[in-house]
Amino acid sequence: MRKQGYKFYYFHNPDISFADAYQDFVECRGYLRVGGGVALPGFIPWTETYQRPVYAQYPQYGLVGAVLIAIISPKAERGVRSNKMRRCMGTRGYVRYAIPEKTFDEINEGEEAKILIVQAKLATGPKPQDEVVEDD
Amino acid sequence: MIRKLIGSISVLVILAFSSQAQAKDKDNAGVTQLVSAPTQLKNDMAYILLRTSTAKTGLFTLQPVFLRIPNEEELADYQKAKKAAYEKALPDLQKKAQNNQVPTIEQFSFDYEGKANSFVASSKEFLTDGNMRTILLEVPIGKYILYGSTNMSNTLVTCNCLGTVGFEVKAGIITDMGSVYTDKVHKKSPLPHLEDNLGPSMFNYGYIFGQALVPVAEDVVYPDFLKALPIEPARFEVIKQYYEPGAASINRLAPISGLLGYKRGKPVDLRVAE
Repeated sequence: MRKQGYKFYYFHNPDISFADAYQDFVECRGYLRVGGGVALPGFIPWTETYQRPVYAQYPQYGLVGAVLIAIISPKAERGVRSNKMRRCMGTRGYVRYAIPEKTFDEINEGEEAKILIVQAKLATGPKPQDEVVEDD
Repeated sequence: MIRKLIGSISVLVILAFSSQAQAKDKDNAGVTQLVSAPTQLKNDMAYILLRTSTAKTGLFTLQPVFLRIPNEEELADYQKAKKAAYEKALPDLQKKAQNNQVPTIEQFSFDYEGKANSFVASSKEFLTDGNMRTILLEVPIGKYILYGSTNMSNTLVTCNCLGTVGFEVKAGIITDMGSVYTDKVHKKSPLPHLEDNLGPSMFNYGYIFGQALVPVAEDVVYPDFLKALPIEPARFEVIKQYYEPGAASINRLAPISGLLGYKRGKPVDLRVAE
């Protein structure tokens, strides 16, 4: 489980209140919203919350490529989301502790309101009796 | 081995995914990159001077991305186009609505063909070459933000969403913003000033680039071809966190002594007393 900690983890910060942790998760999970690529040069409406087109189809890499993409794209998507959360939460003083993949899925899937509460509770709960996942 | 294969393919997928964004080759946000210093500056244009690092990932040089904050007219044009596109798409959106939840205009996304306000400062066109290339941009007047970085010419990869700086540029003046360093930061970078070594596993599923800015020194000595031109140092302001859903990765501009700091991850202006 520890070896996979860079993929499956939860955040913890002993110095934070539940309310602050909840707000941190709200703000950082906001970066998980994805859109299509930012064309450059292009127009970005800066002062407005906006969405970009989400591309439904991956480029054609042939049959083998398409099969590989179908296999790895969920992992790639999880990895991209993880990178964003690690960077955002990490800069706010959170460290990571390894958990089984099933538990990781449970705390990251479902209604957003539930996810926020569960993760904020975990983040501000008792200090885990385990090693911190290092930036490996 | 499997992890590296997945990582490589994932990087290619993400790159190709991003490159589906349509580049507008007709409008570089009103920006011209000058390859020789002008003898005189235009009085209706502004100028940005910077030195940029030339680190690469593979064959591609890492480059800074800028955004000019749009003015009210540009935002109004965008809103008008969005409204028209939404009204045209609405019958279809209603037909496809799941659980009777039709996307609102705020949730509606569309490809806008209006004037650009964001661009890549290309490392291919420069005044002087070296480990740091000197770049001079002729730009529309306005306020600019160091928005992020890319290894491609036509799409953003990493946004400085977690904190960056902006600065105003004035007509007929060169605004010297100093030196910009950009590199991959999942491992230690040979470039100075960056927040790097974020962990090799951060590279498994896509690039994460880091960026640092060192404002120009007070005792800077300009080359002869710039000395006769009006040059001022950039007056930076700290830009708070923002969202860019189209960025493949997020990061922040590295702290800048006496200017940009971070408190519980949020950018703070170090010049302002708490």
